[in-house]
Amino acid sequence: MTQDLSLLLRDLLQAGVELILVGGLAAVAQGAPVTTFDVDIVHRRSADNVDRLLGVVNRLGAYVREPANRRLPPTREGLLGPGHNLLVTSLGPLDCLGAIERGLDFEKLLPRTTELVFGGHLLRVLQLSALLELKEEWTDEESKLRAAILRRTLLSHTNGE
Amino acid sequence: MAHLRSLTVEERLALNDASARTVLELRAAFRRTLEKPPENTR
Repeated sequence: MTQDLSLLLRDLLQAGVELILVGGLAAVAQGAPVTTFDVDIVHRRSADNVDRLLGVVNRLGAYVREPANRRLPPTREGLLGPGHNLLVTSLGPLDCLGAIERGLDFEKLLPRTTELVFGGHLLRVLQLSALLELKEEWTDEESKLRAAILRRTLLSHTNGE
Repeated sequence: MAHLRSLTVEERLALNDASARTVLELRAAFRRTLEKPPENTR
């Protein structure tokens, strides 16, 4: 597998998948000095959109990440639901999240997003302030470190650094 | 951080890809080192 998260994201946007980029890559896109190894998205769970998403992930040979490694393909039902579909694709790991903390789904997250231009497409990303709020809910050491980096990045934006 | 601010979104994500690939390669090399049987020092 050749990891290429940029190409993975571009494929999704090219296919017209409606998504909000969350997690580490959303922070990277907004200038946070972190490295991340997967793409986390909250997708719109309409039938049409899930079909577009399924088309892309199937083309990329996606299967579900799970301890038994049975290489089960993602399902339409799974992607239509609020759960987390943790996938491996030929371009890298892709987490398709029906909803995140407190039941926040595509529609509920929309007001907290920013539109960026990426590869000629509009890319909706969850704003740094929202990413920080979510990260601050976690108490593990790694999340605390990430939160500190996000806080510093947000401050640098505010100060126009 | 100022350097990252000057990059486009495409450049930021490309930098992450390069960085992630390097980290994955280093991890794999480290694992191989751990798995290598100890050399006979006699």
